[in-house]
Amino acid sequence: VTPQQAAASVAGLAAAAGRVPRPGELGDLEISVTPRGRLTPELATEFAQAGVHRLVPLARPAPDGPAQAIEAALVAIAGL
Amino acid sequence: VLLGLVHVNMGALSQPGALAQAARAAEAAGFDSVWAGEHVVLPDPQVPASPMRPQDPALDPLLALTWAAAHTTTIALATGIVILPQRNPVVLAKQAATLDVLSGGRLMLGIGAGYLEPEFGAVGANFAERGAVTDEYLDAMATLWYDEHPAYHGRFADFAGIDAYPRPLQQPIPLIVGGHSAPAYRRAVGRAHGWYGFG
Repeated sequence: VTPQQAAASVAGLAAAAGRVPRPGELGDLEISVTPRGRLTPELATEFAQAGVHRLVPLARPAPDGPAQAIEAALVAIAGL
Repeated sequence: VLLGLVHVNMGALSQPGALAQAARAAEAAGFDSVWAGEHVVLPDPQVPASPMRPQDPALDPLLALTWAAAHTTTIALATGIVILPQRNPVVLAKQAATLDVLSGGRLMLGIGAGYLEPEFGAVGANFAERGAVTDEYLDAMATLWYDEHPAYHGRFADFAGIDAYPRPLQQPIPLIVGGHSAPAYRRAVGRAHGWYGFG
């Protein structure tokens, strides 16, 4: 998803929270998203500002995909 | 901000060594979770709604995460997501409890209602009522995990006079609802610990 889509979903969840009771034992709703494309520091900041708690980057389906995704994610959130 | 890694059960990572290596690398890097998605089958030929080609490999997420659990020690294991109405809720409750126990309480169960009708057809699942099925199955699994005497009587699941051990190590299992629809938002707010957006 994009930061804009994440923000729209957070708004949709907030609207649902106005209609559906949330049991207290569940605590705060944790928002996780898979960013579209390569995660950058700018994107990570935008996701955080949109209310995202966990970024779940997609490991490209190649042997070096996980290493690239992990490295990019660590760089992206370093300043947060 | 927390970090997870998806999809550790697909593509090149659907090989035992690659999957284990990815999970270990994510854990070593401080990621809090690895995630595995689900497509039991894929439409052939590929349809616009399908994100994958029919030949793309996708391991069963619960089995893949069990493999990841055996090669890691602390990282959480998340389904992202299991297509709940395509599953038998009693069997899935057992599988989830099994993974939670074997992993030392590291399961995060992400579920969704699904969207690919050919996949439902192949499994023999109810596509038209998948939202209602999803809600019932969540209740049915919850009684199996948390109630002293599990019982459920619904339109799509009906059982009593049975029990299932071991219970999950985590009480409760962290539940995550995926999807961008209004029912998914309602389901997440009303009964889940988290929400997951993909695609």
